[in-house]
Amino acid sequence: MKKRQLRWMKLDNSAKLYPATKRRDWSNIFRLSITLDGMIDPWLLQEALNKTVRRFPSIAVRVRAGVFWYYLEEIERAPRVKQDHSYPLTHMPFDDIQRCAFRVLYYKNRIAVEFFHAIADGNSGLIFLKTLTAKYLELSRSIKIPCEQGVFDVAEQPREEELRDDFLRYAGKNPLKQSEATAYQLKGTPLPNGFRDLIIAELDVKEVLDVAHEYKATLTELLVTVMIQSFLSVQAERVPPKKRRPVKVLVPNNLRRIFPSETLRNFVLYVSPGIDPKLGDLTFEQMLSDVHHQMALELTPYRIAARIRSNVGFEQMWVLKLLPLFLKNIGMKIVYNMNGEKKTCITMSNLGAVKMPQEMAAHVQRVGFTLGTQHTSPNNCAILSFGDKLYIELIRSIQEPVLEQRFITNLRDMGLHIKLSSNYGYGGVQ
Amino acid sequence: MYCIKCGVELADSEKRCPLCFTRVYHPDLEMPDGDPLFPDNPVIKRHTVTRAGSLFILTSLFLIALVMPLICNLSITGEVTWGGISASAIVLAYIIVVLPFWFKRPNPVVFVPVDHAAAALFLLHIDLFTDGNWFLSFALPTVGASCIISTAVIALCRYVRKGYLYIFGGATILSGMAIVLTEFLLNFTFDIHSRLVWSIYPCAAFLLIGLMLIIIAINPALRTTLEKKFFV
Repeated sequence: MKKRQLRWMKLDNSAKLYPATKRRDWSNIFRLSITLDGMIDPWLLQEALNKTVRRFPSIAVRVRAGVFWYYLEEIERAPRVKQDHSYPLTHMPFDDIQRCAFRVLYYKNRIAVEFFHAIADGNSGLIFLKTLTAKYLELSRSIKIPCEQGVFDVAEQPREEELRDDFLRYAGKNPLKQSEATAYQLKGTPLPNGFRDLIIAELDVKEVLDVAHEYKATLTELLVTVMIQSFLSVQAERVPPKKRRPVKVLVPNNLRRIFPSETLRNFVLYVSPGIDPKLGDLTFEQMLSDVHHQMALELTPYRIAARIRSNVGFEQMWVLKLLPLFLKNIGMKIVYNMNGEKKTCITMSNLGAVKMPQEMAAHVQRVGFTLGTQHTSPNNCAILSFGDKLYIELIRSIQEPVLEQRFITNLRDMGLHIKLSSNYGYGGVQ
Repeated sequence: MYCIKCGVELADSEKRCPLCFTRVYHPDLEMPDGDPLFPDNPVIKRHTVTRAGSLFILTSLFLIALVMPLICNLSITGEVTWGGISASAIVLAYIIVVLPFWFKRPNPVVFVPVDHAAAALFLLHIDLFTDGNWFLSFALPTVGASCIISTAVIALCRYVRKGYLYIFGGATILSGMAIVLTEFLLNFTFDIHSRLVWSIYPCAAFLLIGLMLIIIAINPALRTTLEKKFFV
């Protein structure tokens, strides 16, 4: 019998960086999880996964190396679901990514999916997780969940627009070149064996929105400013005035909100609002106003289109296209090492309010979103809200929770009620 | 429960505040026992390249480089001739480049004389092989002078940890003199000239630089002026 030709696709524009910048002990991954109201049955979860992967040919893939570029190749069968590890986002070696670029984990009543960033962004990952959970609920509870609000029908064929690289579609005519100053980098004692400490702050979403609206800002702008304020105070204690650097936060933005797109590939572009300590001791209101205007300016469609053109331009240069993959990897790694993580202090990714069909939401206790740390920057922060709760997940690869302490106490000082949970810390700190 | 230090509520699973590590405890309240967020699996140990592993690989590579010329030499000429010199060179490179890394904290005050001794033995080998008779009259005193000067500089920098200008000034002057000694030994051993020809020029330059460093070291006002003019 003739073997079926496996479907393959090129990496999207932003995904090209991720395989090239991987390290022996680090790759760019993120995690989404849904906690249900009952224990997870791994057999049924495996069954649900087997049915779900067929609907997502751009996510159920492995990363393969060609002569000139990496590419994505369809996996023949779904990966085995596994029990969760003792900490989130354990290292995903590239050998594993070449077999399957995501993993499905379960622990008690929680289903988690950890994605290699080249195959999906937070929004498409969330659609995959919601569809998987809906299928699991259908199998385990015999309930019918309508295919709406990010839950896909697994019996349906994937649509062409879901698999398209929309960066190429929405790139502007002329590129916009931006040079950015190097930002302050927090240092600390690395946690051994690649362990990651996670602190989850649970807040009332209405309380936070009320505070943000008082300042005439959005929730993201408020949290970004609190983070900047926290970094500035850490820097003020650790670094003499003359050597202080700007504090900048990398905020990924879902371009589907700006351009009409249904793609399930990466479709995110970053803005990096920040405050330079050379401006003097600004009040919180001044900082927030500054951040608000920086973000509003950067998020205009024409600026975004021009920035996409700059990124796409590199990919379309014939000289670069013809370079063998290993040379491209060396080049991209050098550029990434020189610029990638040094231009910002931390990434703060806000997935926004997670919506799902009522029939499904009735069984969901919470939704989680965790970003992996960068290779050198030790902290990252992921945010989402579900129901009336806002979850801020702060991950770190160093022992000292100095940034988390400032960030949380700054929020507390605004009169917000915060409930914390953590993953117990390395070596049984708890 | 609340953290008394941070003023935030803690989930039932928390035994300590994750921000300040203060233990959550109240003598009159029973502690709730919540489920941990993650299972208590053993931490996955990372497979890293160990120091001993890297040294083993390097040593193996050096061994290959050592044996290959010997085999070639034996198979071509039937005896060890030029292959011996090549093997000695590989051993010398190994002693200088790799040997210190077998130790946890290699002390340069020990390894610099060891490296010089190895270099002297290598030169002795060449001398014997070529029947040159220049080892005792030229190679040994030259290597010895280099060994004394560099070991003295490293030992003083490591153990005195001050007066660097004096140390480097003195070392520069001594290096200038060592160049003169080298030319003298070359002339004496190989009968090139009957007087010193070229070494006095670098010697004069070295003496001037060394003296300048010592003058700067003696004179704090001059140091301040120079610092003011040349600060980065």
